[in-house]
Amino acid sequence: MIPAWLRTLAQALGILAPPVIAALEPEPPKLDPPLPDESQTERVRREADAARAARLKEPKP
Amino acid sequence: MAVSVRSLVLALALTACAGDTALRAGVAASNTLGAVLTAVDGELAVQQQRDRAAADLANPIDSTAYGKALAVDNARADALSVAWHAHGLLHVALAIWQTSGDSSAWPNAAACAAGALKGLAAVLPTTWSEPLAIASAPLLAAGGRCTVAP
Repeated sequence: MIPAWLRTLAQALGILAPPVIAALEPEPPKLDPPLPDESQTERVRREADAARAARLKEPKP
Repeated sequence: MAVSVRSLVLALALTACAGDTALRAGVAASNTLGAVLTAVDGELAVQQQRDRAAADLANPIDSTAYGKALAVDNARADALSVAWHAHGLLHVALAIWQTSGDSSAWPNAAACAAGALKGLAAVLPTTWSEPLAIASAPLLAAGGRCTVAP
């Protein structure tokens, strides 16, 4: 047989526990925004190679 | 009967708690990976600019020599591109997990990202080994298998 005071205490803890646990829990980390579609490295490569290809295509005097 | 209902509720609560912890770890892993890739990108972009200008100057007409001079730069840019794309898939998997609770895409995306990081570490200077290993560890811990190439 559980004493009445213990039952009351258990009930009180049961009610109090969820909000206390919620308050103690750290903020969930936020997901950073996605990276840009194209990296800077890729853009530099694409632009440099395109500029070279255009120069090589130019008619020679 | 009351006991089994209580057990079921407890089991559900524990499962939800474990899922929440896994999602937090996933978000942290994605954010770390994004930061590392952004840092690598910053360094590689400067190198690409410098090396391509030098290779163009040294080989104004010879395209084979131009390509040869940029072999290392191209390998690094390719590996970064794969990791960049893998991070995109990882991000989508996490966004789905956060919004719908469906975590099924996460282990696969994490494994693919870890594989991409391994490839990137193989072509980058060893100064990048540690940050890449740190970013890779939680992805490997997801225990997935990369069945789709990033």
